Order: sequence, then C-alpha cells, then structure tokens
Amino acid sequence: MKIIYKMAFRNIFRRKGRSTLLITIVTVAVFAASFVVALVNGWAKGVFMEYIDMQTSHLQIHTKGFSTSNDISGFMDRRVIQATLSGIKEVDYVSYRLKTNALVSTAQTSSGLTLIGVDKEEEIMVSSIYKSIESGDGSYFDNDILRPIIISKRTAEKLNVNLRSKIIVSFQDSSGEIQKVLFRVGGFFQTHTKSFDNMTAFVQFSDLMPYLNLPDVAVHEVALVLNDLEECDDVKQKITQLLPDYEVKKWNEVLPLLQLISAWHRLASFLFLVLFFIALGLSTSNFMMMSVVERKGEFRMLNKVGMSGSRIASMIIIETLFTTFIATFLGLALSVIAVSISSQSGIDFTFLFDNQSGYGFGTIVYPAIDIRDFVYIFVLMTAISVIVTISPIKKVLK
Amino acid sequence: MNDLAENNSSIIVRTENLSKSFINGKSEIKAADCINLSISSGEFTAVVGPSGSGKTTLLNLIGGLTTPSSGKVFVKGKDIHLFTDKELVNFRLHNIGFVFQFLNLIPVLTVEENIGFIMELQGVDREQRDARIAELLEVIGMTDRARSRPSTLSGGQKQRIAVARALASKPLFILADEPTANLDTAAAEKLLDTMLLLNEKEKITFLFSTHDPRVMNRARRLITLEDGRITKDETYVP
Repeated sequence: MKIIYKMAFRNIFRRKGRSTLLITIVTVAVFAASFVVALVNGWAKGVFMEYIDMQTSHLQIHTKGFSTSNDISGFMDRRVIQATLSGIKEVDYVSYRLKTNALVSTAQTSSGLTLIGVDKEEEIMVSSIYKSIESGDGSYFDNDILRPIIISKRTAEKLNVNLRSKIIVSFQDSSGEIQKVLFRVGGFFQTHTKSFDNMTAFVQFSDLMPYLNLPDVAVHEVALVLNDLEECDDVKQKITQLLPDYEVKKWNEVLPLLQLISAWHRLASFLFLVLFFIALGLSTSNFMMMSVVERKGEFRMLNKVGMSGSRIASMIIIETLFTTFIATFLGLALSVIAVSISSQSGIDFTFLFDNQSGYGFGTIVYPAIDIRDFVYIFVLMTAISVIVTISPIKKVLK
Repeated sequence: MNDLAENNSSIIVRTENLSKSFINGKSEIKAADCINLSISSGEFTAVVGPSGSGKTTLLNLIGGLTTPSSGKVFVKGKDIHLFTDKELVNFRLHNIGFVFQFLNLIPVLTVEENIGFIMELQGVDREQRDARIAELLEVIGMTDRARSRPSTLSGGQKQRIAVARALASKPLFILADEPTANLDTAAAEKLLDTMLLLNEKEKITFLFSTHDPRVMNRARRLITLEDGRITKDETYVP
C-alpha cells in the first residue's frame, strides 16, 4: 500500500516544529545512549586488552591441573607443541615458558611469588610487559647484568631493592630439592593490576632451566597470540582436538574475573539500553498521542470512506517508525562521529578513576562501538516505536 | 414515487422501518422514525428538512456509519447492518462514495492523489487509476491544479475534488451530506453543475442532504423529513 507509506511520511512534516522537536529528542537520546555504551565498551575493552597484553595472551596451554597448582612436574614437551602449532595458521606468535612458585629474599625481607622463565625474543611478541618498564627502571633483559630478574615496582618497594640489587630466589626443583639462586634486579615493570604485580617476576628461560632439574624440552606454559582475537574459540577447539591431554584456555578462562566482567558488562549495557529506551518511549508516546488525537476527525473520515482500522493503525505505526528511524539514524551517525574522534586520543578520566588504576584498568578510555549494541538500539527503538502507538491507535479507533 | 421505486428492479437502496433514537438525558430523540424508502440507480435525490430533522442521521444509516435502533437498510439486496465492522468498511470502500460537509480531503496528498485515494485502497492498478484521475480532473475543470495541496484550494474546489474522489471508483451511489453548506452561490452552482454532469455522464446515483434552496431546485427527487419522519417524497422530471 504505497499510499499509506506516502501519507505516513508526509504526516511527519505536517507539524514541522513538533516533528523537529521529537526527532531532536530521539536523536540526542540515541546519541547519548550509544555513546555511553561506547564508553563502557571502551572501558571494558581497555581492561580486557590490558589483561591480554600483560598477563593472559590470547590462549594458554598447560598440562591438566597445572594452572591451579603450578606443580613443576606438570611440564609439556616443547617439540610436541611446536609440531602441533606449526600446522595452525591462525597462530601468529608463541612463547614457551617455565613457571614455578618461588620465594624472593633480600637481606631485609622476603616475598612469595610466581617466577616465570621466558625467552625474551619470544616473549615480547606475546606480552607487553616490556613496554611497562619506564626509562630509568632498567630494561627487559637488555642489559649486561648476569642472571637478571624483572620484578614489579611494587615488589621492589616491598623488598626495598634497586636496579642491580641482589635477590635470592628459592624454589623447589623437580626432585623436591630447594634451590637458592642469586639474581640481580634488571628492571621494574608496572601493570594496572596490583595482585599481578605483587605475585609475578620474570627471569630468562635459560637462567631458570638448569635449576629445575627438568628435561631440556620441558615447558610449563605456552602463550599464544593469534592473528585475530575473535578466532580464539576455533583455535582452542583445534588445539584441544590435537592435544587432548593438555588444557587449552582462552584469555577469559585464564582469568575467570574477565569472564565475569564481560558478562556483567553485556548485561548492564543491555539493561541500561532497555530502561533508557522505555523512558524515551514514554515521552515519544506523549508526542504521538498529541499528533494522533488532533487528527481524530481526519482518521474518522478515512474510516468512513473505506480505510480499515488496521490500515489506519499501520499508517500511524509507519509514521512513528519513519520518525524514529530518521532520529535513530542521526543519533547513531553522531555517535559514530563522536566515537571515531574520541577513540583516537581517548578520554582521560583520571579525575574520576585515579585511585582505581590499581584494580586493572587505565584511566584513559577509548570509546568503542560494538555493532551488537547498534543492533540492540535499532531493535529496541523499533519495538518501542510500535508499542508507543498502541495507546493513540486505541484512542483513535475507539 | 416510493411505490414506483420499490417495484423498479434497479433499486439499489431500500430501507425498511428504519429508526434511530438517541438518548439525551432522560428524553429520547427520534432522529429517524420508521423510514421506508427506496433509491433507484441514477437518481439525483435530495433529502431536505429543517436542522435537526434527521437528514444526516438518515444518510449515516444508509451509509453504514450509524447502527439503527431498529429496521433494516438493504443495499443491492444486502442488509448492510448484518455485516461485521470490517466487512462494513470494505463494503463502503467498494460500493459507496462519500462527500462530507467538512474535512473531505487528506491534507498531505495532492489533488490527484486525493482523487485516486479510494482507487488505491481498492488496489486499482496505476495506469487505470491515472487515466481515471485525468478524466475526472477534466470533468471538474481542475486539471491545472492536479499537483496542488488542498490547503491552497478554495472551499468550492475542495468540494468538487471530494465529489470526484467519491465517484472515481464508480460506486453504486454517492452520499453527500450538505455538500454546499459552506459555499458561496457561485461555488455551490458550480458544484451542483459538476454533480449533475457526473450523474448524467456516469449514471452515478446521488443522495444528498441539504437545506439549501439552490440545491433543492436542482434535485430530481425531494424527500422531506420532519422530526425523523418522511413527510413528502416528490419527483420532478427535468
């Protein structure tokens, strides 16, 4: 029924002032809602990327149970892993690590942590820890220090050590013997996660291996970076099939907290959008009621000459949908522009979150659009546009 | 005349003891009181009478816009008040043309779109519709205003377009409620000329209410109502 669409579209511009006001309100509301969601997305993405970059990488492989026990006897054969991963084209970078619980001691104090043995060349491709070492805080295994250890600034403060300070690191080898090895502080890293900083130290793979009493091919942890984060599930499935005796974990399984944040983030964003658009729907309903009631005589005439109630209802719904589609499109377009501008430099929320940076996220948020949210907004706006016409339609068809 | 019409096989509208009462406070007003009449194809009939005599009510009852308190309305032999609401709307769409006193045209549509409106609702194809619109625009002398919006037209022009719209789909008959009520003499005459022309040319049946003597003089049949009852029914040969 072309004529119904024609009438509905022209009716929008019948009362230019009121339609402009309604379109403006919905545009601003859609922009505000989508930009807030983009900010929350940006924040969540920032948190996830921080954890992925610094701690989890995209995927990790361990022997079953190792990730909870850190039992050094739970090692894997590097050759088997290498052979398997070489056949998976989605895998970009791999880092083979040793991992053990250790006690680091100075003359004054000591602290328990997880000691990770890494190959520098491999590790810098899967982790950005090296980037967190600021100038003057040493380097990531780049200096001439013999047997360097990279600890966090927080641990350094706790142990009261400086660059090149001696640290005794104690740990058990595979036969249960306690090994005490002298390391020197080679650098201080710093992430936004207090617990990770307090509990982690890095040494070179080759400096740790001789003391663990393990075969040369032994590795405890394999960290992977894929060419696309979205491929995690597929690659995990492939590796699990090829290495059924090992445990493959996605970034958000390595740190279950991330799974929780991710779930809450999605739920909170969705609830926010639903509540926001219900509130918007109420004000839109008022506009539609005014617009429809003042044309009651006209609708009556249309019905008299043979336009059925369902056609009149369709016309009112289409009219509302046209209005809200125009406004939704404008609001989302504004949001895309605002996000593309602000995502370059980020928005600094230091004034709000400075004290929070120790809990795992930076204070600069880079807004990010998730196409799923745009779909939610579009679907919600469409559903609400139809719902808000029910009352005016009932009134007019009575 | 009533007898004549009833015996005529070309009867398109027939009422049987048609009554309609309204309750006003404690009193009952009989707007139509046991009306029996027949309208035959091609008639140009005016329902006349003073204000409040029941002219509009009678037209609304015949057009299926008001439900009778008692009695029946047959259009081409079908009792239209037995239809469901949906059926009635559909019946009106395909069988009855309406011209109202006010609010006839759709303000957001152009003149040609208004004329083609009913045909479009009926699903008449575009080619056929355009040809009919062009033909009617010529008959009512408004070809040059085809693309104009109703707000730019005079009252007389609007009523002529309403008439053109009403008969565009060639309905069984047209009901016009006081079509000249708001028009000056010249516009009213022109509208009547148009209606008569179309009545003759297209053999469309017109039934209209009026208390305008100019209209009464042009009608071929006059049905006079008083207090909801038919008091006179006269036919004039032109």
